[in-house]
Amino acid sequence: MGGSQSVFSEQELSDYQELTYFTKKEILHVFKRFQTLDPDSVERDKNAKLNRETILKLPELQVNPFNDRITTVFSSAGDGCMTFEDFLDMMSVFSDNAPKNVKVEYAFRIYDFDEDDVISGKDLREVINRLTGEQALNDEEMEQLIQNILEEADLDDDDSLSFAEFEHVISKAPDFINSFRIRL
Amino acid sequence: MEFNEQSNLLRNGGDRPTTSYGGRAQTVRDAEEYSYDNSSFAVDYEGLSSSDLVESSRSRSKSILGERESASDILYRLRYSFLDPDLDSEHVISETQDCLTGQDKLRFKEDILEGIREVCLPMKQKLRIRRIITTDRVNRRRDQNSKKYISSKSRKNGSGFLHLWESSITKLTAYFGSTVASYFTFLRTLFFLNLVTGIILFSFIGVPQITTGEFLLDLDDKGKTFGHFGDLSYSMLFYGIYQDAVDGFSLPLSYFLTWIAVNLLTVLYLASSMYLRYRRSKLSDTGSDFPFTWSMFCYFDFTINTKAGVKDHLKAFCTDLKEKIREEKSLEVVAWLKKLQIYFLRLVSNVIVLGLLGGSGYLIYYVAQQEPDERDVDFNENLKELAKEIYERYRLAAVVAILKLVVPSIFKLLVKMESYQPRTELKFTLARTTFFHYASLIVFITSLTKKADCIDGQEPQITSTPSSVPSNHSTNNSTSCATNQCWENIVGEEIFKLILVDLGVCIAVGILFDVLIAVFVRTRTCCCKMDYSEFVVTSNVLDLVYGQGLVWLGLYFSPLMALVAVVKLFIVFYFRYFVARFANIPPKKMFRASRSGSFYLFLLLITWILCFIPVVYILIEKTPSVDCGPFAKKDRAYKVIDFLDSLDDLPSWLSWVKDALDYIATAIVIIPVIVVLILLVLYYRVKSSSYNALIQELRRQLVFERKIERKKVFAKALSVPALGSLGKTTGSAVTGEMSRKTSAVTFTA
Repeated sequence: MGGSQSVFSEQELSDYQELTYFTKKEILHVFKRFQTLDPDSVERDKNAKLNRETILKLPELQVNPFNDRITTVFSSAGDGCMTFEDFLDMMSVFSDNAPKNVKVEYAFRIYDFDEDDVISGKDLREVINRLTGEQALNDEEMEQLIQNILEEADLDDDDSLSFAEFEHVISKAPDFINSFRIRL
Repeated sequence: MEFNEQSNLLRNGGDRPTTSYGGRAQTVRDAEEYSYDNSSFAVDYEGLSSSDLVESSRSRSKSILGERESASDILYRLRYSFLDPDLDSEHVISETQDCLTGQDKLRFKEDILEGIREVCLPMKQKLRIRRIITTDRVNRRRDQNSKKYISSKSRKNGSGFLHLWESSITKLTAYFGSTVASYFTFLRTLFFLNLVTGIILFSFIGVPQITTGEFLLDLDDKGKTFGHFGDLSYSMLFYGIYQDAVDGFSLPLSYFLTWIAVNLLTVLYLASSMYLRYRRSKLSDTGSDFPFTWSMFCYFDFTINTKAGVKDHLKAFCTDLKEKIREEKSLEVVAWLKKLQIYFLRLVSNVIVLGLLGGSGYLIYYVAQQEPDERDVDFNENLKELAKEIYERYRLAAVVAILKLVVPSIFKLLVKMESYQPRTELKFTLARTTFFHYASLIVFITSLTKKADCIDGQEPQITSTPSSVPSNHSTNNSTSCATNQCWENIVGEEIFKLILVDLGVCIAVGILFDVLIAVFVRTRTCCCKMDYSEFVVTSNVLDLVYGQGLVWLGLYFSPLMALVAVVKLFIVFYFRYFVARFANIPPKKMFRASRSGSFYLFLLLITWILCFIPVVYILIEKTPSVDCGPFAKKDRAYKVIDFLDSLDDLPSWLSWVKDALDYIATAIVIIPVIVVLILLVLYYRVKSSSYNALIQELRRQLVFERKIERKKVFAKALSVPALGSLGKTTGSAVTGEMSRKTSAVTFTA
């Protein structure tokens, strides 16, 4: 902890602590992990922007089927490059202490592939494909699945899930908090 | 109007508009920053500025809040700032801040700072906002509060002891996911529970005993030969050694009260953690309301981060999904004859289950009643004799452990015959296995305590042991009913034996099934397509709960049993950890982890109740043995408490107390109390089911309202000529946004 503590000022650390769901020790731990992704650039500038491939070297993100969406959503520039602050933000949302509504908000953004603020049938299809991968469902099963989902969750019959509908369904799910977290 | 243009219109929300879409839009803009949501509504859809939605919410907002925005408004706008990228949040905040003074300013700052964390903005922006707020150093009070908050948080996360084995559990989670990790965290909870129990018991009972200097009981000349473990039987591990007179410290009283206190602490802890978990789960156990949506969005476990783990997890997900889809389809009408066959099979299997339960209960009782052939283990004899002797001693424990192994597997096979749906299958097997465990525990303890009846002069059923009994041992058998027998020690030892045998069986099964199969698969010696064995969470958890039940049963008879349990759990943890890492794969069927968080505690609570009641019964009904243990001189163990003892001879003017207590214990009072309690339970059931009905009703209303709203807005949108060409897709995107805003607006209202 000695080395990385000198990187941040006391003010910065307390700011970060107030703005994320981490303690100071955890923030430093996150910074250490961030540093291991690309030690040289971070040595030079602690606010270095790492591009997407570097970020995806993190083992917790590497095998996740949604890793590209995660990096896009959390990067402030919108193209997948993340600074340490974006990284910290991401880890804070995925931490155990983040409340459910914050997680639901970001989950919605992650699953909304075309970024039109609704999870349409196309988005659902993309999610299913990412999750089932090679053992793909045949078309009939896929159709039925999408139909079932829309039947359950789509309240106003517009064939897509708005944020309110998504939140209404997901915030009742008992295992959402347990699955939607990453521990560093 | 295409969608791009429309979004441009939205972007004009913050700036002063260069183009105005209708005069009404202009007037609406007077309300400036606050009602930007509504104004963009009016801007995009000309015909809509007179819509009820805009008007009502605008007037409502103006009347409630006046000219300035409050902290919650600003936070609210920040939340939806992605809809309005040009919103200059810092400008807004600094302006509002400058308008306020003194106490209002402080409160404003506090509100913003508390709420800013939950707003979904990039970190840089949040930092900037924070800098603006904290430039004047007015918030000394807030800093103090935050310091308290920080220190409590760090205490929670930094205490390394409570997070024992954390790194091992994380390594397992990376491959297996949260379900398997929940088993290990449950094990850790039990470890700490037993540790605390053991320490309390040791310090209040063990330490005074140590100060007397007597670690081992002297064998009398009477030739008492109780005790199977040699020296260990006479040590502090078991009840027998504790004396009834220690200088300046009433050991019997301490023994009794500490035992009661430990039990009360346990039940308090279990009940409170169940309560907290249940509250957090928000009553979401109203069945699986949204099975497909939940499995789509909540199934995938982000904590898995190895490639193999993700692959297995997704395979399980796919299987689960396909099953669910097929379940939907299979809710068809089954032919009448097939139904009859299914019901007949179910009846048969239930009868078999009952038969098994009854049979195993009787077997345990029968074996427990047989008197063991008490010979010392003589290692010089040949192997056959040795084996027989060991068998004699461990007969009861072996029977119970083997039954525990065999019967649940039979249940698993039986349930396949009944052709239930997979989830119901799991529930049935779980219920039957749990019931079997509890039944075996209860039969075990009650048949053991029959030995205590010896003291009252009853003859036990002495059945001749299978091996030939030499004549010099028959005297032992006949005097086993004599008064110089320490029955608590015997019971304690049987329980201890059972714990050891349980541990041994668990390790043996683990090695035989999991490790051997893994070796076969690795070296491919077996030609058949064998796969690694799965890590079955439910049966492992049931094993843990069963073991804990045994410990609770034995706490009265052997105060250091909790420390024995600590050692046992330690061994079990590492054994399971290594087996899981090297020989197991994640389970293919998921039993919902988080719901099981409170489910495991619930099982533990039921086990506690079922283990507390028999021991209390024993305390009340049986006389402690005369020549060993702290209660040797008393008629009943609880009479150690002087108040209860002196109930027998109270002064005459207080005798009504005793009469009252006696009266309360009779049937005339107990039965109405039970009836009233049952009525209360029924009342709460009815209340909760009516709440459920209310929830369904509200849900239907929600759907109805959304449909009506959407139809209204969509109709008006289509009525604008330029928008008439919008197809359904863009229309849905539009209404998607509108629904987000509509919901946003309705939330403010």
